[in-house]
Amino acid sequence: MNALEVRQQVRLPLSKCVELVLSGVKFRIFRAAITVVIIALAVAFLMTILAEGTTARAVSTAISRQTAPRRLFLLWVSRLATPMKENDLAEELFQLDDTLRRDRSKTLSVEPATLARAQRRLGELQAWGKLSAAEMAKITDVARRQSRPKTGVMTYFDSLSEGQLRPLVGSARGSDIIVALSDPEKYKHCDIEAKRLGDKLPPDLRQFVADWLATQPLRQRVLKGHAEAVLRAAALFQNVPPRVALATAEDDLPAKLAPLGFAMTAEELKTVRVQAALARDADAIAQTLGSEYLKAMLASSYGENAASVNAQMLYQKTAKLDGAQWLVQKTDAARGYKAQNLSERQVQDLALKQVPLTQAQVTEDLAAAVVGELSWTSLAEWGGKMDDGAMRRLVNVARWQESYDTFFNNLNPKDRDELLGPYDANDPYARIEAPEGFDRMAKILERNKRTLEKPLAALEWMTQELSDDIDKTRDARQKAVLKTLADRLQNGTVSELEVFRYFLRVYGLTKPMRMKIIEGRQQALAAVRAAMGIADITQIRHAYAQTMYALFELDTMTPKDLRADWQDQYNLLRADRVSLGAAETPQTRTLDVMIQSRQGLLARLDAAGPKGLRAELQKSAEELKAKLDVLLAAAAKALDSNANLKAAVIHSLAQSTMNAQEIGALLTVPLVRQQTALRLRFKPYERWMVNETELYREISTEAGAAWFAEEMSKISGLEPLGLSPQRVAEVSTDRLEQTHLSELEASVSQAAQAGSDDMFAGFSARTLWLIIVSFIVCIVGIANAMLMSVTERFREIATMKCLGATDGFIMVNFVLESCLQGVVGGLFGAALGLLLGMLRATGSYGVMALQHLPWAQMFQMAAVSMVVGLGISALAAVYPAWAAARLAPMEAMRIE
Amino acid sequence: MTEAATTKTPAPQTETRGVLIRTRNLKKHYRMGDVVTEALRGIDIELYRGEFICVMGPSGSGKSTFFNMVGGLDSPTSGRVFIDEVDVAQLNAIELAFLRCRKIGYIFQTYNLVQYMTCLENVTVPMAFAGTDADTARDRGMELLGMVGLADRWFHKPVEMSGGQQQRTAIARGMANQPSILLCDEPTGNLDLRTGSEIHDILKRLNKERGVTIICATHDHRLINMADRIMWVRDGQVERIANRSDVTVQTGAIGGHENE
Repeated sequence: MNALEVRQQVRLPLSKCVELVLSGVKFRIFRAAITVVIIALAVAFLMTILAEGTTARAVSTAISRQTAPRRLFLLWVSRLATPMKENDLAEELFQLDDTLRRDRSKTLSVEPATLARAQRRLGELQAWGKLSAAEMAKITDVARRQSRPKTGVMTYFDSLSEGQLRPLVGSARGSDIIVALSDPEKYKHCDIEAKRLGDKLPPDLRQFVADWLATQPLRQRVLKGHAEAVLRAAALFQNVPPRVALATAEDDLPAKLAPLGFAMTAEELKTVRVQAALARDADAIAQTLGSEYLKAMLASSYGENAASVNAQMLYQKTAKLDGAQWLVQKTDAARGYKAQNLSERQVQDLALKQVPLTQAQVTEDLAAAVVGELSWTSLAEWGGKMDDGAMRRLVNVARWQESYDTFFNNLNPKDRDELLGPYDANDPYARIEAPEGFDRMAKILERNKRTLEKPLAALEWMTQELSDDIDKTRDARQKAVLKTLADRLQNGTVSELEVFRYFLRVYGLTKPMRMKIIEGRQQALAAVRAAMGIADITQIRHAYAQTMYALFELDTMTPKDLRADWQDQYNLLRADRVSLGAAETPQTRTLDVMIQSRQGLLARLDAAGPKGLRAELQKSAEELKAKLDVLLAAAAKALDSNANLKAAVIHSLAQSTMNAQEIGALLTVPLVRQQTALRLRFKPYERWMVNETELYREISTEAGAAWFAEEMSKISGLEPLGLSPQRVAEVSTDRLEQTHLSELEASVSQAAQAGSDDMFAGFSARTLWLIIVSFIVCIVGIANAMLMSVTERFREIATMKCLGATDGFIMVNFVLESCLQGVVGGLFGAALGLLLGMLRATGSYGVMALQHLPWAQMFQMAAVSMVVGLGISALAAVYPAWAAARLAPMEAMRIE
Repeated sequence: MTEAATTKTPAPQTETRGVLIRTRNLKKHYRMGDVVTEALRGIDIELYRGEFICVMGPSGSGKSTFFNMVGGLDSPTSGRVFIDEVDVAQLNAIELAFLRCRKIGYIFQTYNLVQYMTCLENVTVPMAFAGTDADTARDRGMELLGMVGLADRWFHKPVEMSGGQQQRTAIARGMANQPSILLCDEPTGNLDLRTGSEIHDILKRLNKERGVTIICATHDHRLINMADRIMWVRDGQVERIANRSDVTVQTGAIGGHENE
């Protein structure tokens, strides 16, 4: 046997240790899993915060990159349009100086573009103030002392609350504070008050105030220079606000602005121009909301009331191409009315030309007719080519009648109806033409002690008329009566009532002539309509309007309501049709057509669904529109070239017919149609029947025209946009995005502020505290688990030591075990944290977070988290491992 | 104490064998607060190379403490333990580990196999600690398992084996680095008679064929029967050492000693 030679025990290779640890961990996999979970949670917590912060910073950077063009645009607008204030100048000088400083320090990188912009801006300011470099340095220095963080003078005063500030400087704010402090008395007071607050004024305040006052003229020079430049810029833009003018700025704008001191680069112009155009078009889109009609449609499509509709909602709708098309279509529908820009009176006139005349109107026209003018010629033409003599007679009767009309119209309607019977515009005096009617009227007049007017102007013409009348009259008795009247007229003893009675006779005698005029005008109108194909136009426009109305209903009702509504309408139409009986009349024919069309719509709605039906209706609307355009073009051509329409009288009628078509076209605007139906007291389900003729009749009266004008003012906000649907969608998308970005910016700014002075390693104190606590908890948890593991393995450890394990091996064994768990836990934790961080970031910042995920940084953060996890698990294992290593080998002998 | 120190040590059966373990006035005190327990009160004993010695003594007699001292598991309060003329008290922790690894094999009453290792892995653990390369360790491990009759069960985990099989594995592990001493603490204490006798046979064989010195704490009279010498410990002192031939081993009781 060899003599014992004691040497140092060999060190086990690490691989063997790992192998042993692995098999040990495998055996106690459950406990290991719990420890892993503890570590994973702590690491995940850290990783979530890291990932969120990193994502927030990335999103913030992305936002600022994406909003840069718009900010540049707004910056230029304000530079070009608004003179600066002294405080703003100081603040800007400080920022610019800060940028230059950061660049010079080399530790913080500044983008070359930012640097160049800052230098250009400083150049601008210097040029406006005509400052030397030294003077520039002076005001920059003062600005820095005024605005730098923490120690700046303004920063100090800004940090005070309103209540603290008041005792110090009274009501002075901003740079007024500095001016106030230049008074030694006030300075002393301020100093005392500050001490009372337990505060101290900035140490160099007195010197600063002096320097600030000394440099004030320099700043004023800059401000004045800029103000002048703003004025000259306004002249350059011909007083169009820069916000608008920039959209159409020419490429030579920078060259034109250069003499004014504005240093705009060609590249900046490009960006600004695009942004200005976007702003202009966005405004145009937003302005369509001035129309009640559009508001109503938009509101119902969002299920809101019209008052809560805002531009944002509109942009949301129009950001999609179909929404944009919708808007363009709706605004284009108002084109006709807007293009003509008709007055109430003109509308009424146009409508009057489209409805049959009444005697009252003919009388009015005749009374106003002047020999040789178009109205005279027209009336003569329609009255069967009447000669001037006949026309004169009619005109005289009309003028005579006007004086009586005035009398009767000035009575209150009750009295007038008592005298004349119910008013009939077509034949106002029909009831008193008969002798008994006249006697009754005379009696009433006498009882009320009222006398009719004696139209002196008419009396001479009456004498003439009377003598003609006597000549023509064959009836001897009548002749005698007339002669008596002529005598009484001659010697001035004729009574008003007698004159009126004679007027009624002449009125009766001339009635056929006026009727002839009415009929002749009607025939002429029919001829014109036929020549221009107005019947077809009306029919197709009616169909088009119905289609548009169906689209409107599709737009503004839920599919369920729509189905129910249409079914109701159909049922009501059916009920009406049944009540009219079997006999066929024009009314039943219209109804049948309506019923059929409703039935068709219902069937198509059921077959194709709301979306399919909309597509179908859009298509048929487009087809009808195309057909309509063709017909209207043909009508316009006929107006110009048709020989039959060439005659002045007819041409005028045709012209007015053509113009009236534009008004009729408004019925294709569903809201107009709806309002017209209401006005005409149509039942809701009869909106379909409203057609142009009814509209013309309504607006040919004064009240109707007034109503129509008011109704139109409601859609007056609807101006043709003049933008393509693509552009509308593009602009709306941009606006939505900008709004979204600015909202995000607010939420992201806090998270992205990391790296500022009161943060440590990108964490706020609170977050850091949370992380530390979580790790302490984690370390305690792991240590506890490891200690339990040690206790559980007392015998195993002791046996190992009996078998030749060194303390070091035992220690390494346990630390390794913990590290292994740390690695696995760290891996899972980092993955989990990454996922959670991404989810949270996505929750806070939406898709932006995913689009701008900083993968490289994320993995870096994951690595950091894993190392931290490994570190804490190694740290937590030190004590348990030490306790295990210290264990005496004889514990192996112990029997539990 | 002095009496114990002067107790005459009976001569070993084979005089030619050298002394393997020698203790000089070995004392061990345990301090529990203010109370000092004297576990060993001075033991002088010489154990010879290649002998099979059983240590007996009631619970609390200091038998276990003696075992720990001899096995290099604990250091004495005073006195010395020489193993192969090396003073154990002079060794540092790492040297002790070396000693335990190569010179002494340990057999425990509760086998103390590492639960998550297979039979073979358990056997090769001490070899790994000794720096033996994996192939050699495996071959030697299989050989040792063959010796204890478990070659075909090398891949079993402790929980899959009977107590006897576990203890046999433990013996194979104890022999892993060919130690000169095998320290057995009640090796058959947890085993029934039949399996116990398997262990006896193996221990006997190791003692006879390989010349391994076996120090065995036991109450198993069959094991005592196999011993060369028997040592009684009482109250931290060696009460008596006798050659096997001087002692009557009876079933149920051990003669001579009890009679005193």
